[in-house]
Amino acid sequence: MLDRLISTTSTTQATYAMVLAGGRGSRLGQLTDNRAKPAVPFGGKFRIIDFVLSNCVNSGIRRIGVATQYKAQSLIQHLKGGWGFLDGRFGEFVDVLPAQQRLEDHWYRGTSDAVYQNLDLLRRSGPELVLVLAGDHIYKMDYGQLIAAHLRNSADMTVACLETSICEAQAFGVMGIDEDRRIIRFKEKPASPDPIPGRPDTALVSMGIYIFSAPFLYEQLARDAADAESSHDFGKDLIPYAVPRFRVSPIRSPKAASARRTGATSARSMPTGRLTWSSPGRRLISTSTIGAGRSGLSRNSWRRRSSRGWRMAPA
Amino acid sequence: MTDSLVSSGCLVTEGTVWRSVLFSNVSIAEHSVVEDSVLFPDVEIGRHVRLRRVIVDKRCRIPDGLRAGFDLKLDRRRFQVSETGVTLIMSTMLGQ
Repeated sequence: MLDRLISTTSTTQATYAMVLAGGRGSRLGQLTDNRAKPAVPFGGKFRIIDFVLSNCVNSGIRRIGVATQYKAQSLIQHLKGGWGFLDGRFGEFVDVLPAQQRLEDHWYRGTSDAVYQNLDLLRRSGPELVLVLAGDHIYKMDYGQLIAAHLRNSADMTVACLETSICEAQAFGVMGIDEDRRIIRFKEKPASPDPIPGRPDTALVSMGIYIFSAPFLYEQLARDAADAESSHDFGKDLIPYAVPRFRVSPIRSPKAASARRTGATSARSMPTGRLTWSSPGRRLISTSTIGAGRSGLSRNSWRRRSSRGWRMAPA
Repeated sequence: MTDSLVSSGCLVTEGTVWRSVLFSNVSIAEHSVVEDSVLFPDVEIGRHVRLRRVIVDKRCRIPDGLRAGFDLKLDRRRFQVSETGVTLIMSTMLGQ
């Protein structure tokens, strides 16, 4: 209860949600010939992206950017017609962020590049936290709890995770954890997923939902953008880079025990199970590779900051 | 109409709908039977049409008397059939 109280006061208002809706997607076959996957109709009168946007608004996050690229017209039309109710005059919006070759001569090269190329907009909004979401997932979740867990840990980054069976885990980003339930490895679609210690048939997989403290994200994006080897993807590059360099301590939320993710992204059934939250906590040993000396904002400094910026009319 | 999710604007005239999802503004004309199917917005189904385990994409007009989802061999030639035997009909496949 306390978690939710913390989050509803001002934290979610200081969060910018970046919804990644530019991917091509292949598993829906010809349904995505003319539209991006997030724009595929779903459930009578909705489209797939409505689920993520609803989750945001219902969690109190009302500053939302939707990064689009592939066959975006249908999606943009839907956002305009269905999600135009937030009022920019109060600093609330669903912004369409099309790839526009803003920095160099290329479109969005990957998920993290899509955020990097919009860094100027992010900085201008000045959020404390950035929530990174996929536009093609169907699930219900209160991001406020995730944000509260992130703040409680003074974390730089938090990854939402699910427990799933080992064989299903091969299709996802798998967290390798040690006996103390700290994440020590992160592998995208591994042939042999790391099991949870003591439970050889279960693995911990990433849901592709990340929350970052904004300065940390900016740092990481700049580093990743400068890396010529990187494919500029959160799951493939940015997270695997960050995980071994931080002390990672997963947190379980009993309240979220029934959270489920279902299968818009895969023809196969998605894993269901207990939701676990994993947070890279404070750096155990300071590393020089990532801007030295700054771990996550402490709760107090965060509160101070949020009382300055991001003011909104009380709910 | 049984066990179905029907959105606003749908018009079903003497048709039968079982275990299906009808998006906005779908119309189904006389004597057509739709089962285990998903009809995207603005789909028009003609008369005497039979659909089983079919997804029909937005704005398709299904001509009178069409049967889909019964003879998968035939459906593979003219439409797209998934591994699990669900037929997908797009407007381009109907020449529209």
